[in-house]
Amino acid sequence: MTLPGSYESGPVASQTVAAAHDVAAEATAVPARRRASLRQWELFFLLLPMLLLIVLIFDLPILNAAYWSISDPKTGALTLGHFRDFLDSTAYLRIIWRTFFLSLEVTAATILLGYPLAYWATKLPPRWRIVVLGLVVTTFWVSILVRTYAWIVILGSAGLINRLLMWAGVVSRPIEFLYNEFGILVGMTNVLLPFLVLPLFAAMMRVDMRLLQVAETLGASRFRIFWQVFFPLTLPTLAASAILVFILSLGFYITPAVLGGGRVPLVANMMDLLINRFARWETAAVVSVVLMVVTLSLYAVYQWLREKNA
Amino acid sequence: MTNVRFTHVTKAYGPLRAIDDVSISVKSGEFTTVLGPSGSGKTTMLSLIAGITRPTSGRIDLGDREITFVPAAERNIGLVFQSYALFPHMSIFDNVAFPLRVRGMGAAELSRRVGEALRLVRLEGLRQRKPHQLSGGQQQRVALARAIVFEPAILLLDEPLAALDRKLREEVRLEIRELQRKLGITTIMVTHDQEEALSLSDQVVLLSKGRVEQVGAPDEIYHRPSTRFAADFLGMANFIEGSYHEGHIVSPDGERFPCAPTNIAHGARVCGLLRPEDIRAGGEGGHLAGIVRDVVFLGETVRYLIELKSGRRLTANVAGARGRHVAGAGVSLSWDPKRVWILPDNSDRIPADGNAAVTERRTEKVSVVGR
Ligand SMILES: Nc1ncnc2c1ncn2[C@@H]1O[C@H](COP(=O)(O)OP(=O)(O)OP(=O)(O)O)[C@@H](O)[C@H]1O
Ligand SMILES: [Mg+2]
Repeated sequence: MTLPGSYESGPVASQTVAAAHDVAAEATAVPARRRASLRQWELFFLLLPMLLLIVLIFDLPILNAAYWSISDPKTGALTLGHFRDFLDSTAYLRIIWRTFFLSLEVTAATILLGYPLAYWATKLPPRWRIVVLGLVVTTFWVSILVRTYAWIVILGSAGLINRLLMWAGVVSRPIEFLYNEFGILVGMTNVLLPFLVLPLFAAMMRVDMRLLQVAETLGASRFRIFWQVFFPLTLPTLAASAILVFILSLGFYITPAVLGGGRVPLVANMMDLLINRFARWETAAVVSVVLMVVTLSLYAVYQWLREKNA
Repeated sequence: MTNVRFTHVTKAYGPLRAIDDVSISVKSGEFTTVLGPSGSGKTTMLSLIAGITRPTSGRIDLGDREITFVPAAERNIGLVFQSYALFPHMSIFDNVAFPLRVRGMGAAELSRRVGEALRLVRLEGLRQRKPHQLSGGQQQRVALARAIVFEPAILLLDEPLAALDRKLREEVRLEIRELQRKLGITTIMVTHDQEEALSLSDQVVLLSKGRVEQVGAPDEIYHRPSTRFAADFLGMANFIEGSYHEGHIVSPDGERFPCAPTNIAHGARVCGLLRPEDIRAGGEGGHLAGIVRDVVFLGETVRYLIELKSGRRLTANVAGARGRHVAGAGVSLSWDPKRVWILPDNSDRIPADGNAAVTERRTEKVSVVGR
């Protein structure tokens, strides 16, 4: 259903661009006073191809999936049957619950690692600051697949850490870091850390040094200055970034598939099974609707926190 | 009784000396202003007292205790930043309560003290607001309340009025002065506005490029400045250069400016200071004749730019704006000879240029005024 739409959008798009050009040419000829009102139209025409693309390729399929979740595949009549099936089956709920719980763990891990890391970076001399942030950012440049397999090299039973531990005689048999929730946790935390560290670093740099100095002159200890002045001032950004990390964790597919070794199915992997193995499109639609509602609600909180922060 | 004393204090940022071998002292209960152009080290000086920065060398005393390396949190000094630095996430009440909570004060006493401080700055009704909901003047007063609520030994104010508009500035200025008198708290205020310094303080410390240019009471520093820089910075000044001769300064062009007789050697090169408001411009019978080149109406006074025969120009501020002279008119200038102040340091050298003689003179002067 999406494919014909995207094919069609090609010629349509080029036509609208041409039309926009005409309008733009006209706009330069009219007096400045009228040009302001034309701008809106220009903008609209320029954005139209993009708009069509988004509506046809993203929005309609999503609405379509939402429709599937509440309709009978044969008759097309509206029904809540799929939702009832979904709620009756403990397997789905268990997997969704596990995904939520793991996402919470990932969020907690990124906070525990990311907040001190960002704080430490702000204390460094400017040159070292760039180096540290550069190292955090480079993880964006490496393909997620490569990074995930890199963890196998490090954490696998014949990996770096296990060999080191056995060589040092700490353990006699390799520890199983991988193919369980721990492996997934490590991999996802690694991928998501920059989403927390970068905004937090920026927020910490924005904190007015004079507030900390004045708190000191008012007699506050370093501990108190941190917890009562510095931390509250970075809290909105911390909360917003944490929500973002949580939302992103909900949809992880590659990392759980590789580092979980297929033994720890999460929502995205379950969808894969439902569609590609069992062809249960309606159930998959229900799961995706549930996930989307949760994500959008969290996203609303994220936006609210960001605006409050700005 | 001395309250704050700097002894040869230097604060260097790399090669730059933000504070350069400064020795001053401030008496208990007095209102001192630190005056100086931008970048002269005023903020640095306050930070050194507050303990936010450490001196590179020298010694700072507070009362009879040396505090050079005492942490800021243990100094018991109230500081108001130019930007006020209110905690944006706390209410007005919590902002003012902060220093008391830090000291572990009980709720009842704390509430009473905060209420009292807010009443002093006339902000009782706004205690539940957040700082961003207040006007600049109100924020300024909250910062003041927070700085005095814990009864600090000294109050430091860094250009507290700079962000306010002219009218509000005058209002808050009076409030600060009144508050200071009421509490009797030793106060050091930074400003780069000479009018503010002259009108508020018991003592003015004039800084220039990290060095103390002069210390003194406002009228002393205004009428009897020790250098050209001081004379110039504190208000408009006419400088009369020439050689001293029997109660006159005789310019190279031969114009004779009467001044009070001194024991300066005849023929010595001197520089006299004559403030514009000390000059009278009449029809005739004055010391010197000149022609009005420019007239500026200032409201209470009129400012004339008057050119003498030699081409030298003098500025005169004459009270009573009615019946003024017009541009091009001839006027006769007179003044009380006692009003001509002969600068003890007759050089227009910019201070702090590393001249040994300057250093010596300055430390000597400072110790005279300070102790
Ligand atoms: N942390 C710092 N690092 C380096 N140089 C500094 C630092 N703080 C101040 N300076 C320098 O020290 C000198 C004095 O600064 P200071 O802030 O005390 O000036 P000021 O008299 O308060 O000026 P203004 O009226 O503009 O506030 C300036 O040249 C400034 O650039
Ligand atoms: Mg300053």
